[in-house]
Amino acid sequence: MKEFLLRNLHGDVEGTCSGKVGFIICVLTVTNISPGKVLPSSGLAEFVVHYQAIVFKPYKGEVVDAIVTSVNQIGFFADVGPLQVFVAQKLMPNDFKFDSNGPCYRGDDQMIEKNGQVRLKIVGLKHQATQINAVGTIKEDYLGQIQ
Amino acid sequence: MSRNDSDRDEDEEFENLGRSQDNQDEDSDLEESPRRTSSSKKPPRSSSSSNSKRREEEDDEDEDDDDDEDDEDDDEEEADNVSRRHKKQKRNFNPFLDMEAEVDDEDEDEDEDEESYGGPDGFIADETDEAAEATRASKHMDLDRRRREEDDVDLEEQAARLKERYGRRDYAPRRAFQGQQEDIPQQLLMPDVQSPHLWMVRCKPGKEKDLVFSLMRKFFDTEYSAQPLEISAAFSRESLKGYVYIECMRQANVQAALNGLNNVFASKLTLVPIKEMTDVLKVRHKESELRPGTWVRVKRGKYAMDLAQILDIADSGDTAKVKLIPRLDMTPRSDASYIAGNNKRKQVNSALAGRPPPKLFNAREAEKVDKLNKPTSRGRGVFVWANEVFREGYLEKDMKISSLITESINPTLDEIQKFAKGGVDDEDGGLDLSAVALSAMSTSVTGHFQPGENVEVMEGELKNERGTVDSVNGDMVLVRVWDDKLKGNILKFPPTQLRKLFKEGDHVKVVNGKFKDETGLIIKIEDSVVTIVTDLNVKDIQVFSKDLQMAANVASGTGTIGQYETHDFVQLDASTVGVIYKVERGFARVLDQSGLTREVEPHLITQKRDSSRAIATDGEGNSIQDGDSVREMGGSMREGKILHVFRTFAFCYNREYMENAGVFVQSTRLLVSMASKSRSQPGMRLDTMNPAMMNMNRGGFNNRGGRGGGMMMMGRGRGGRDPLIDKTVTIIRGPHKGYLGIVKDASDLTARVELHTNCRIITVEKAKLAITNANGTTTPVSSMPDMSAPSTPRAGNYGGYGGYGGMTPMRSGDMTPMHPSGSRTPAWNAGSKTPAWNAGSKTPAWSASARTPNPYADGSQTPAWDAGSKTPRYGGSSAWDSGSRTPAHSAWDAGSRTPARGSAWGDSDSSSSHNQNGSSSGSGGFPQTPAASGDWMNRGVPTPGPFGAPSPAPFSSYPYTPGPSSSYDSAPTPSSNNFPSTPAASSSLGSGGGPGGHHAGSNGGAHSASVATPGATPGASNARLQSISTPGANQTPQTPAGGPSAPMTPASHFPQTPFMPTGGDYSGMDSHHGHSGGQVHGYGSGAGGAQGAAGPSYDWTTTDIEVKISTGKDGSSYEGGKYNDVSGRMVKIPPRSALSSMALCDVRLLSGPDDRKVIQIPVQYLKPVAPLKNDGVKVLSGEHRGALGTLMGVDVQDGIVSLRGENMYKVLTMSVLGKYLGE
Repeated sequence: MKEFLLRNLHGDVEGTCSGKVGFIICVLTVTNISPGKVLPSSGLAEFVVHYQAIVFKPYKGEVVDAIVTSVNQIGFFADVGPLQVFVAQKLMPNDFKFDSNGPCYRGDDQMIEKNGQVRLKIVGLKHQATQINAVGTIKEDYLGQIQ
Repeated sequence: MSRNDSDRDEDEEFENLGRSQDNQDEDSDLEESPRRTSSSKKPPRSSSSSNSKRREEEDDEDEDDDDDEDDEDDDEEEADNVSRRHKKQKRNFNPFLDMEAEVDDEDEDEDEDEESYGGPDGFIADETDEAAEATRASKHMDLDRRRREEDDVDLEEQAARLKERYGRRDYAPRRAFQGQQEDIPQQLLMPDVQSPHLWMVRCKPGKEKDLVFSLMRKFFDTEYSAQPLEISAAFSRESLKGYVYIECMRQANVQAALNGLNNVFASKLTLVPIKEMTDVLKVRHKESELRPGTWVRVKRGKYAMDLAQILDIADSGDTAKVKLIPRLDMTPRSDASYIAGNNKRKQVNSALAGRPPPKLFNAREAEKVDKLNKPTSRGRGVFVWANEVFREGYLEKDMKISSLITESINPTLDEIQKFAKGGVDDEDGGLDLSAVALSAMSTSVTGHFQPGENVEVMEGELKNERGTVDSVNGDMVLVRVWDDKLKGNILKFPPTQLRKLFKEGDHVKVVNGKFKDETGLIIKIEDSVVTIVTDLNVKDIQVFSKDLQMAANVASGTGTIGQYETHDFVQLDASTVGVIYKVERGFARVLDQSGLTREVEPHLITQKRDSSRAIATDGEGNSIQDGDSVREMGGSMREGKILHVFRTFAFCYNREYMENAGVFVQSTRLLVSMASKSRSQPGMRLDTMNPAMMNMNRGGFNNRGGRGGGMMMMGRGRGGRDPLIDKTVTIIRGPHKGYLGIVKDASDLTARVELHTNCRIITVEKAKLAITNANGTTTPVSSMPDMSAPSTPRAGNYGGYGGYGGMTPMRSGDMTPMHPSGSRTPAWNAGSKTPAWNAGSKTPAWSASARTPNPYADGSQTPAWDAGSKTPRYGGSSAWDSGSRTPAHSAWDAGSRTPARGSAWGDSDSSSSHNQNGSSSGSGGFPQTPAASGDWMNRGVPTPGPFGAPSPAPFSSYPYTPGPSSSYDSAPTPSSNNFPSTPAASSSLGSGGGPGGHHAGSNGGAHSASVATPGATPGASNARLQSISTPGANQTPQTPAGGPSAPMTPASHFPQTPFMPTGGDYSGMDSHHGHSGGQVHGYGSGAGGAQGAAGPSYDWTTTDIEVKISTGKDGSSYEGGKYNDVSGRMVKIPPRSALSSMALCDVRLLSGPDDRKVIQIPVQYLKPVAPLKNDGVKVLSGEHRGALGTLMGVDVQDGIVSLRGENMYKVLTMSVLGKYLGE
C-alpha cells in the first residue's frame, strides 16, 4: 500500500510544476502519510502525503545557465532545465544583431545560436497554475554566451 | 469723502489690525511702543515716523501697497495727527476690544465704519491729545536709550538675546493672520461704487484697437488743456469684437472722450455692472493650459477634426498659431481669375465633402498648380502661398482657440507620426515619443490611475518622488509617498504630473490603445514608453505607461471578438474560409485558405465552422485531422499542430513562427503527419481503412476525390433541371390515382404536380407518377432515365450522379441534401449486406420495366441507360466503389505504389472530380502488377468488411435518382445480376454511347469481365475473395469508367477532369485489360491505347526495350493468342510516319515457345514492360525521349532515373520509361 502510494506520488508529482513552489524535481523523503479516507460515492481513498522534495523555483534576479532552444527575430528561448526563458532582443547587448542564417544572434565576440549555452539573468517571471515562464536578460556584465 | 481719505482709513485699519496682534503679543507691543515714542521726538517727520512704524509691521507682515503710503506721505500732518490720535484713543479706550471682530465689521461695511467713528474719533482725539503726546515721548526716549545700549553690546550677544527673546515665538498665529490680510487688499481692489465705472461702447468690429489708441492720443493731447479727458482707462478685448471699454467716473466723460472719434457708436453706452467688471478682464484658466506643443483638433472648416499642434499662443491668449498638415487643392487652376480667396471660400462651403486629402506642402507642386501665384520663399523651408504660410511642408495658421478642441484629443500614433515625418522644427524641441507621451498624458483624464498603483511624479517640486495611489478624487490623484521624509503623507497631484511606475519584469496588461488587452512582461522602460513582450505571441510592443496596468493573469488570448476568438475557423464567404490568428480592436486578422491575410470585422464573418470531424490525407496517405502534429514535406519544413482541416488545406499553428502569429496554411498533400510511422504499416493501414470505409465514403474519400464530387454535384447535379418538370404526368398510385397533371417542380423524391382537374398543386412522390407520352402511353417515372437519355448531351440525370457526391462528402454534405438520408436509408444497410454489384445487376429488371416504345430501349438494353450519363457514371461509380471495395479498391489504395494512381488522382490535387477519381482510381488499378494485387490480397483477404460496406454506397444513392431508383427497388432477384453478362448486351451498351461505338468490343469485354467478378458473388465474402483473386475481374469494373468515359460522352463531365490527359493512355490500357481478361501485367501505356478514341499513338515504340505481347485493342490476339504474355525485345520499329495500330515491329521473343525468334507483329499487340528498380531504362517520350539510364528508385508514380551522361537524377513518370535491354 505504502509502496503504491509512493509510486503514485512520484509519478504524479515529479516533473510537474506549480506556480507556488516551482518545478518539483525529485521527491526526497515522505514525512507522513495520513490514514486513508474513503471518498463517498466512489471506492477511491484519499491519502494526504507530506513529502520533501527538491524543487526548482526561479527567482527574479537569479542568474542561471541555459541552453538555447530556438532563436528568432525578436529574441531567443532558452531552457533552464524545465523552465523556459525568453530573452528579447532588447535585453541583449546593443551589439547583438540578428542573423537569419543560423538563425543566431551575433555580437562582437559572442554568438547565440540554437543549442548554445548562455548565462542569463531572470528579470521577470510569470507564474501560472501549471507553468512558469520567465523573461531573461543578457545585457549585463558577465552574462551571455558561455564559451 | 475724497479718495485720499478713504485711503487713510484703510491704512488705519491696517494699523489697527497690526495692533490687535500686538495686543495679543506683549513682546511686540513692548517693541513697538518705544519706537513710537522716538518717532514722536521728531515732529517734522511724524508722518514718516508713522510710516516707518508701519513699515516695520509691513516688513513683518509683508503687506500693504506702497501706493497707500505714498498717498499718506502727501497728507498733511494734521490729518495724520488726527488719525494718530484716533489710534491712541482707540488703544486707550478699547484695550481689550476684540479687534478681529472689529476688522470683520470694517470689512463688511467699510462705509458705515468710516462714518461711524470717523467724526467722533476726531472729536475725542482732541481731548486726549496731550496725554497721548506724553506717552509717546516717554516711549521714544525709552527706545533711544535701549538703542544706545544695544550699540554698546557685542553683536553676538545681541543676536543671542534677540534669539532668546524672539526665538520661542510661535509665528503660526501671525502667519495665519497674514493669510487673512492677504484677502483684504484683493477685496479692496475690487471695484466699488466709488471707483470709476466701466462703460462698454459699440464700435466697428476690427477697429477696437485703433479706437483705444486714438483715445490714448486724445488723452495725452488734452492732458494739460482746460478740458482734459476724464477717463482713467480704455481697453478692448480680442475675444469680444465690436466693443471697447472705457473706465471713468461719469457717463458724460465717456461721451466727451468719444466725441469726434470715428468708428464708434457712442449712442450705445452700456454700463458694466460692478460685479461683472472683474469678469471683463478675467483670463480664463483653461486657456493658460495650452502650451506650445500640445495637440489640438480643429473644430470646423476645411480642417475639421484634423490634428494640429500649437506652435505659439498669442499674448491675448485667445489665438494660437497651429501647425497643420495642409489640405490643399492641387488641381491645376487654369482660370487665372480664380483667386485664392475665392478658392478658399469655396472649399469652406463644400466643407468636408470634397476636401482635399491632407498632404505636406510641396512648393514645386504648388508652382505647377497655380502659375500666376507662385509660392514665395521666405527663408529656408518657409513658403507663402495663397496667403498661407508653410514651413517644412506644414501649414502654419493662426486660429482662434475657441475654434480648437483642446480636450480629450487622444491623438493616435499614426497621426502624430505624420507630424514627425517632415522633421520637426527645432523650436518645438523635437518630437520624440516621450514628448508625445507627455502630450497624450496631458490630455488624458484621471481615469487611468487606479488606487494601489505605483506612480512617479514627473514635474514640480516633488519630481521623481514615488508613491502609491491612495485614491482618486475628482481630477486630483492622492498619492501616498514612499520617501522617508514624507513617509505616510498623502499628497495631491494633478494626473498630468504623474506617470505610472513599473519595473522591468512586471507583468502588465495594456488597457488602452491598439494593443488593448494584451498582456506581457516589461522588458524595457524609457520614460513613459514601455516595451513589453506579449504573452500570447511573444512579440515586443511599445506602449505608454499610462496605458498599462499590473496584471496578475495572462490574457486568455487577445481574446475574443464577438463570438469569435483566436484560432477559430470561420467562413468568410461562400468560397473562403480562414482561421483567425489575431484579434485586434474591432477586427480580426484572418488567414484564409489561399494563404492571404485579411482584416475582417466580426459582422463580416459568416459563421464559425467546425472542423473537428474533418479528416484529410497527408502526403503519405495517412489521415490527419485537427490536433495532429505535422511537418511540411518541402519548403521551409515548418512543423506545427493542425488547428483545422478544410478540404485539402490544413491550418497549422506553431507559436515559434512570427508570421501571422504562428498560423500557416498548407495543402495537406504537402504535409506529413509526424505520428505517421505507426500508421503507415500496411496492416495498420488497412485496419484503418476497414472501419474507415465510412470515412472512405464520407470523410476520407471525400478528402480525396469526394470533394471533387461535391463540386461536380454542385455544378451539375444541383444545377441540372429535373427532367420531369413541365411534363404531363399521371398519378398511378395513392389517393390521387388516375389524376392527370403537369409537374411544376420536382425534388429528388417528390414532385409538385398541378392537377388538370382543379388546378390544385399537390405534392406527390415521384414513384407514384407516370409520364404521359404523346401517343397516350405512360411511362413510370421510375424509368425516367429513358427520358433523359435521349437528351444525352445534357447528361440529364445528374441527379444520380449527384448522388455520389451526396454520399461521399460529409463536408460537402451541405451541398447535397441527400447525403444524410443517404447514409441512413435502408438502402444503405441493405446495400451493405447485398453486394452492391448485385444491386447493380438488377438492372435488367429495370430495363424490363422499361416497356416504353422508346426506340432506344430496344430489348432490355436501354442504351439510354448506358449511353447517357448512366454508364459512365455507373462505371465511374463502380470503379470508384469497387475501387474501394474490390481489388481495385486496393489498387486504389495501394495505388500509392502504382504509377497509375499517381498520375490519376495523385496529381489531381486541386479539384479532381469524384468521378474522375473513380475512374482514375480504377485505372490506377490496372497498372497494378500482380504484385500489387497480391499486396492487395494480403490486405483484402483478412478484411472482407470493407467490401461490403462501401459497395452499397453508390446504390444507396440510386433511390434518389429518378430513374434507377425504382428499377433497382423493383428488381426482385439478385440473380438478375447476370444481366450484363452477355457481351452482346454490354456491347450494345457501348454502342449506345454513340461516339464510343467502336469501343463496343472493349467495353463489352470490360463489362463482361466485370460481371464475372462481383456479379458472381451474391454476398458471400468468400466468393468475393475469389473474385478478388482474379485480377481481371478486379479491374474490370473500372473499365467503363476509365476507358470510355473520357472520350465517349462528350456531354459528360469527364472531359473536364484532369484525368483526361492521361485518360487516353489508360483507357487504352484499360480496355485492353478488359479484353485480356484480367491481365494485370500489362502495365504499359500503349498497345491497347491505339484503340482508344483519344488514344495517342504508338509513339513509345523504340528499339531495345522489353515489350510484352498481349491482346489488341479490338480484342483480337496475335496469332490467336499464341504469344500472349510473351515478352520480347524490340528490334526494329516502323518509321514514325507509318506508325499505326497495324504497323509491324520486329520483336525478338525472349520467352515462350519461340524463344529467340524474331517475329513481325503489329504494334497494337505490344506493350512496353515497366522497368524495375536498378533496371536499365529508356525514356519513351517527352523531353528526354530516347535517353538511356538506370532506374534508381520508384516513388509512387515517378521513377527516379539516373540518365547516362548526366550527373543529376531525373524524376520521370513511370509511364514514359521502358525497360531497356541494350548495353
